[in-house]
Amino acid sequence: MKNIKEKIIEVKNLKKNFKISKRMNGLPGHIANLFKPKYEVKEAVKGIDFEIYEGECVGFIGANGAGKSTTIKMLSGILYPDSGCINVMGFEPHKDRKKYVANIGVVFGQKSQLSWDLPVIDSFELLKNIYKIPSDVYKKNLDEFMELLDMSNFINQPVRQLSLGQRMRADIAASLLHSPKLVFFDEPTIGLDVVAKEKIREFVRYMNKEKKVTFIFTTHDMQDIAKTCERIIIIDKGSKMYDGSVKELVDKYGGSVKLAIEIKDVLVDEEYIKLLKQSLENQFIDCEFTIEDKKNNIVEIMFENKTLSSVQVTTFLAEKFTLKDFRISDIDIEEIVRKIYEGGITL
Amino acid sequence: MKAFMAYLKIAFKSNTIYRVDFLFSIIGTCVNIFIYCAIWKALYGDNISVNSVSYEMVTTNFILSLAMSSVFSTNDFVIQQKLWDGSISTDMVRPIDLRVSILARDLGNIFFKLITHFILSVIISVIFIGMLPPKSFVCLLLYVIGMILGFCVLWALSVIVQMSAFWIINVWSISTIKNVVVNVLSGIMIPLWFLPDTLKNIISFTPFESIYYIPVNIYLGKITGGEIFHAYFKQLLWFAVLFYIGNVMWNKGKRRIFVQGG
Ligand SMILES: Nc1ncnc2c1ncn2[C@@H]1O[C@H](COP(=O)(O)OP(=O)(O)OP(=O)(O)O)[C@@H](O)[C@H]1O
Ligand SMILES: [Mg+2]
Repeated sequence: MKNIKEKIIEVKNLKKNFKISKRMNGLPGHIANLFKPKYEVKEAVKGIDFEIYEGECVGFIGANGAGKSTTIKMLSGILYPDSGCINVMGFEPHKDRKKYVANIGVVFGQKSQLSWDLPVIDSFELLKNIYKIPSDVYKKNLDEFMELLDMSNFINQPVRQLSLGQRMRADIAASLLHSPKLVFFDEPTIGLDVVAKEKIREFVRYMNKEKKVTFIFTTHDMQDIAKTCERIIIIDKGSKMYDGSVKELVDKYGGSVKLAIEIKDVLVDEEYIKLLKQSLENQFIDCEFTIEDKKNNIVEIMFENKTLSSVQVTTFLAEKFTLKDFRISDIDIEEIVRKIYEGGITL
Repeated sequence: MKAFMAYLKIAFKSNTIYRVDFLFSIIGTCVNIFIYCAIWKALYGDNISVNSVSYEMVTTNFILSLAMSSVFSTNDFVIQQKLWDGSISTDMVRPIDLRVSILARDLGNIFFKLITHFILSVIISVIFIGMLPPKSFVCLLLYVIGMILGFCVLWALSVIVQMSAFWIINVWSISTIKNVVVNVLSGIMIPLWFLPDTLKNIISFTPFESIYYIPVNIYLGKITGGEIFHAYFKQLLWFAVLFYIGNVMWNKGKRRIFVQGG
């Protein structure tokens, strides 16, 4: 039986501008500001379109200031879009706000949504009342999250006394207590250690696969993406650059290998790198090599391995140069994304 | 309703965390009452009544108004604060009207202050200054209704000030002006009885006398019979008008929401 998934989010030509007041300096400037404030318009989101289907787990990535948080805030009904339309589960978020938000969960990693002064459990109780969660559902969810997110040892502590990782787990649990079908996370792993990050990824994966919760989250950690998402949307300067599966992106732009070699006896300098590049290009005609000096006599050589095998390259280098050690690895998503941000890859 | 009660309970609870704060504000209220009563005492000298208003009536007016104003905690800076620290985003993702949660929090604070401030400062004042009892038990009940309506008017006024945060960066100036006007025109500082008739007439066309002056006069039995319902109606009308203005501002302001930080 073919499983036709339902569209859960539809965004068309979404735009948002911010007015930034432009202040002039000096006394005449200050006076001028008072009477005739000047504004500069910042286009944070410049016409984005996408569709998201039920059960997906979509990573939203982009450099700092790309417009990810702004988009999430419009999707969750906080900000009014300037133009374009958003349809989420049949709602127009900012218009049917009250009804709409009862069906979604939101976490902003940088800001807690729990009451600062109260024990975590009290905040949860408040949410139970706000969302009118039936007692049995509340209890079931709470017990489950307590275990999955390992919250039992800080549940009675006031939020202001929690560590960042504990607070984040509490916030994540809070956003899911009312069993929403759709969840927005804005940087849920910001500032967390490797173990805490892994726990959150595991949790997201579990909720997505087992509970069929649709996730949309932003992150700067490509491991988050690699470990939880099948699909990513990359935005840059307010426009969508890429929308598709993670695998395709890696296959298409990541068909390269990275060979790191450590040189023995000789000091690696610019001359040496040039020489290395020259001899590689002479040996393997029509192949392109990107060489980077990684300091400490380590040199990184990148090349496409469609026509050229890494064995050929390594053997050649071992014969011609004095190698102490070498390592081969695939180019990973992190590298691809970095290149996209830097403009090295145009999609 | 459950959500409302939950917010209310939380606000109530939060008050109990900062005990020192609470102690100081009671002391503040009492000091205020003593100073003003001393001033009125000096002004009255040996006179029993001025313009047929007795010293006891003045102090009763003052104690009641001040006790009410210390209980009627409306915070003009809630929305401004939420916009500043970006916590407005939390409120916007909850399936509850922001104003409802603000009201619930205010009421939580009020109940806390009612059983601490109000009762304490009235007891202290009764013992040390002397205060007139309500005209009758019925007057006391009618006073409570008038007090609730008075709070509604004050709250709606505060909502308007709060909503202005969407247009101006700092509502401090508007809030200060409002507070001064409320203190003067609602009869806390100077009982409205002493004002010239023309001024009193003008004030009767403003929402301010609805806040403290009307309930206190019901308490003292100066407004009686059918006049009481007239007074209630006036309070309700002002509440409706101010609430409507606040509502229009909220609907326009929502579109201007910005979230600072991240
Ligand atoms: N309240 C605001 N007022 C003015 N400009 C804003 C406001 N919020 C965001 N911006 C601007 O809009 C752009 C997009 O910001 P946004 O927060 O969406 O970025 P982001 O993709 O989430 O970045 P980051 O990864 O750093 O969180 C930025 O250039 C930012 O300066
Ligand atoms: Mg962001």
